[in-house]
Amino acid sequence: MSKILEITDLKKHYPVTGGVLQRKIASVKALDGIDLNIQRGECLGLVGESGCGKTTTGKALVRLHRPTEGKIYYYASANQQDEFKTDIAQLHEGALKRKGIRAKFQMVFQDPTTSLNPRMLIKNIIAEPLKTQNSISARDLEARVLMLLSLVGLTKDHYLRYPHEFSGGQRQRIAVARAIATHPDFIVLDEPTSALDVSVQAQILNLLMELQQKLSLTFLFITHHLLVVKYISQRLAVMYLGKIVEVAPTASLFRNPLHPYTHALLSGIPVPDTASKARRIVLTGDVPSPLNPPKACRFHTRCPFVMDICREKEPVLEEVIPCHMVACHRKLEVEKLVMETFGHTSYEHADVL
Amino acid sequence: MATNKFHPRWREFKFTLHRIFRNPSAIIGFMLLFCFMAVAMLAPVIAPPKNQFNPYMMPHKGYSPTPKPPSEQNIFGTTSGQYDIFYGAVWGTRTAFKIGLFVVLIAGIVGISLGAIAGYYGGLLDEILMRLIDIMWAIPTLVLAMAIVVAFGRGLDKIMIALALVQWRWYVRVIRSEILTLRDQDFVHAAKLMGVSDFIIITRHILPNAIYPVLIMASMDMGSMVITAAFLSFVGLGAPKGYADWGQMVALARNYIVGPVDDPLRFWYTIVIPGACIILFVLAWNLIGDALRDAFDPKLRRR
Amino acid sequence: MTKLVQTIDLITNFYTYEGVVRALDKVNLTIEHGTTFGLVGESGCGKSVTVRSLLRIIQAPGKVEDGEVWFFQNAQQDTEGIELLSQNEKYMQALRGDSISMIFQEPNAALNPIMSIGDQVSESFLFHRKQEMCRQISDTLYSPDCQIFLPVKKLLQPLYRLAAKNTGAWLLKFLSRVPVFKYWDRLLKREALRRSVDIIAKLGISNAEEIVKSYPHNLSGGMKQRIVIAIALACHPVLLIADEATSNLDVTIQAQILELLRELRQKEISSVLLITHDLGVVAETCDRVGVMYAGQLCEVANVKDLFGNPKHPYTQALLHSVPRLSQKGPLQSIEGSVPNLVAPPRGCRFHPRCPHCKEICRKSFPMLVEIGNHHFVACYLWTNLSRD
Repeated sequence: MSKILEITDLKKHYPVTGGVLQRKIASVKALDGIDLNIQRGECLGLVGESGCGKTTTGKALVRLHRPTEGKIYYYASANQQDEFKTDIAQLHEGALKRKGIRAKFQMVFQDPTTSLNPRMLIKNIIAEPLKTQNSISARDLEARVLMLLSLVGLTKDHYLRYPHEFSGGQRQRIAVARAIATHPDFIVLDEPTSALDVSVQAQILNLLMELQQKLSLTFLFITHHLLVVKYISQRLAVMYLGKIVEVAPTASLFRNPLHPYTHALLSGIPVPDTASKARRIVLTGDVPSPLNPPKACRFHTRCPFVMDICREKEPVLEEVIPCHMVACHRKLEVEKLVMETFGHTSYEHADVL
Repeated sequence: MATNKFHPRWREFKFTLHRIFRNPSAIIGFMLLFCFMAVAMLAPVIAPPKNQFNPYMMPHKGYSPTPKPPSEQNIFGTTSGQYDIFYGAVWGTRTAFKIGLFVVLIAGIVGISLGAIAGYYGGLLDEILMRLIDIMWAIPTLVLAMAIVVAFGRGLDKIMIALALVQWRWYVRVIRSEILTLRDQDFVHAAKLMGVSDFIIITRHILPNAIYPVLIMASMDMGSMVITAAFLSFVGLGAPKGYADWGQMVALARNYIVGPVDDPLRFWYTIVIPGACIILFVLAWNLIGDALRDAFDPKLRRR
Repeated sequence: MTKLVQTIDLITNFYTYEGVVRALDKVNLTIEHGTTFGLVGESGCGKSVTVRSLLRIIQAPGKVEDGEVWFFQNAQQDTEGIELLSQNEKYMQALRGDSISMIFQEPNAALNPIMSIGDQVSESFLFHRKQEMCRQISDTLYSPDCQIFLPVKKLLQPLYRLAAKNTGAWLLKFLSRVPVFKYWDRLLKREALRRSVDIIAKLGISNAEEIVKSYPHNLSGGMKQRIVIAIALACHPVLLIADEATSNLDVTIQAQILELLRELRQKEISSVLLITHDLGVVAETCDRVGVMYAGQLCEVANVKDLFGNPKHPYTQALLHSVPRLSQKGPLQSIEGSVPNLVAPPRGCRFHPRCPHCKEICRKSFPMLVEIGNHHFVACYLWTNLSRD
């Protein structure tokens, strides 16, 4: 496997200004040092609660905003040579367009009702990225748009319509068609199914997996819905308050989570099954404000296994088992602690019917 | 789903029409407007001009200051200075449209472009533009209009320029606030991601979604600008004497609003006819504006 | 078990530009005392419209066309029912928030940003429990150990006695407009605030005294949802309706709220109607489940039966389309999309998407029939479709 993106120490701070002179008095640390590698062809799931910086990460990677600090290296080709890697973190709009980054990086947004311009026809919505990236004749354009529509399971009937004439699932298909129009390498999927219904969610997930195979895409799947991400992604990164606390292959994460927060997340999933009950780790309190995050380990205010060291020193993201990285001082004991307090540690087969 | 026989844009237009004409006041408004437009277009037929070179000058036979009641020759009578009221009312319609359209178009174009730039780019540019407009706001409309007329001389064109100069600031504010909310919509982000240029983002993605409040305001302004121009004409800053302008005609009738003691309503026609024209014209546009507001209400728009 | 709410052939239509949207078509729903009833379905299937119809809060283009809604407040017997659709608006106002209260999806929209939390919770007491509170205050005023300055006490005693008899007396209305005298209801407001602190504290918020002084923007999403629940629970409702109450919350906060609802079930409220699209939430919290599709109920059963042995093809498909922890192999999705309710399919509304569709399904709609153990299904083919 080769890397497609290498993110080191990515930070995004939003200044908070105050006073008469609008001086910067504080900053919201939406992202506070993210280190992450994304492999070519994989689907990496990024999970966490709202406000933890998932979407900010996604938008930074596709450069919808400029990160405050840090590097995002993009490997344009599969062979890992350093001369082909570009740091896209600080590039200007013009340079992004010139180097083709805008065509290679795309994003699918959460709510298809707001991500499609309500005053544009489907034909123009899908044609727009094509027209922007290269000059193309009208006939080719139409053929390509129709091809894209059929790729996402829509037909020629849908060509001349407005977005409001479609159901939520169909709109999301259109948004996907627009994202894959320019043959991108990397697509950020920002909660693409959370605005959709259960039955449609499955359609979209299957469509995305099919497209990933067919077009050899790399996905960053941002969600708070762990069951969805378990289904679609091979690797998972768990975020808490602007930091990554655990990265592991999906199976390994569900079988053997090593961070107490991951435990809480996994046990909090409502499972569509009546057999499994009363095994929930309920965290107390809310996510602290990113304006003034807790010192040292950020999770210590809500952690059931907090120790003195957690309040003093910040844990680093370290590899515990091959490919399984976690940032916690008690990473080796967590399994035992959870077993003692809650009586189980694995979420893999919790809902066997 | 709606019938697919027609082009979607036509279907969309039909839906908008349906929304507008569901409102009875819209029907009245558009009917009034239609009448005015017919009169304005057919003015040379309805009231053939006497003055070949400047048809806007009202014909008058004699200089007597006392108005004459309606008769065979002057079906609406004559006003002070023996100007024909009928001719003035007909050609005044054209003047009213001229004033309204010119002012709204100029103010709208200037306001929308400045507002779009300020709202979309934000930052220092926005700050400077907005402070400039704050200064503009500090000057009362009529004072500014009067100052311009006094400086450049009397005339309808001067009034129109003066009104356009004071009116654009409204449009800047409205369009800017609309754009500030649209700027962070996902479809704008999506367009940015595709590398669409700022100009196209503004013109294709933002403005079509932001234009409705402006349309509503423009239709209201069409009426209110005619009132303001009429006022300026009334105080003697507007059209030259004898120009077919409703405000001017009201001004001519100034001394005959109340007739002699024994018959106070004797000269009613001098004031009621041009006055009614102004009122109906403004009413038409306001009704239309109201109907548009209901039709374009974003909360109710989508079924 | 005794009935609490029963709808009979409820029909609700929305009159739009495109035509008449048949949002509810003959919904027969029965909720019993002491259960948590989950109403699941996709968006637009009529879950929310059902509860809005029974509370009579359907908005402008919508109208309840036909049907009956019976409400049996008394848990012991279900003879003295009240038909809600024929009551006047004043009766409904007194009922909403008192016997039946509702929690909405978006706590931000449910709370007024410029009123303090205490005032918002008190409002519910002041609206529904004024008379009772006045009686209580008048009792304390007449009791010998009341410590209020004597002349003030003498003045307040008759006022509160009057208020306890008739809260809308003209004298009280008049006094409320007179300067100085308008403060006669200070004791009442203080009592309402005290009750608010109590109810907030009951929901497991430790610093209730401080919370009542704060404003919605000071609180986090989970906390706001708790306050909304506190307002809903203020008057000890017989039925609490939660319309997607946890859908917008994070997993860990959702866990807190669900835990809270479960605790409350045991001591505070007897029945809950939970509207959600999340089957997981239903499985964890509900006793009985109703599945809706395109404006009709297609299956009602106890939660174990529904998840263990779903009979309706839609329920089966829905359960298959949810990713699970033990998911192996691809997810099965339901092909097609929800029908447009302006022109719903003839016959069974699910037939265009149903994998087992037979000729009869296209022609007439199956009625909801009981197939044993309080399990109701609206499908012609349920006997052939046991779980595979």
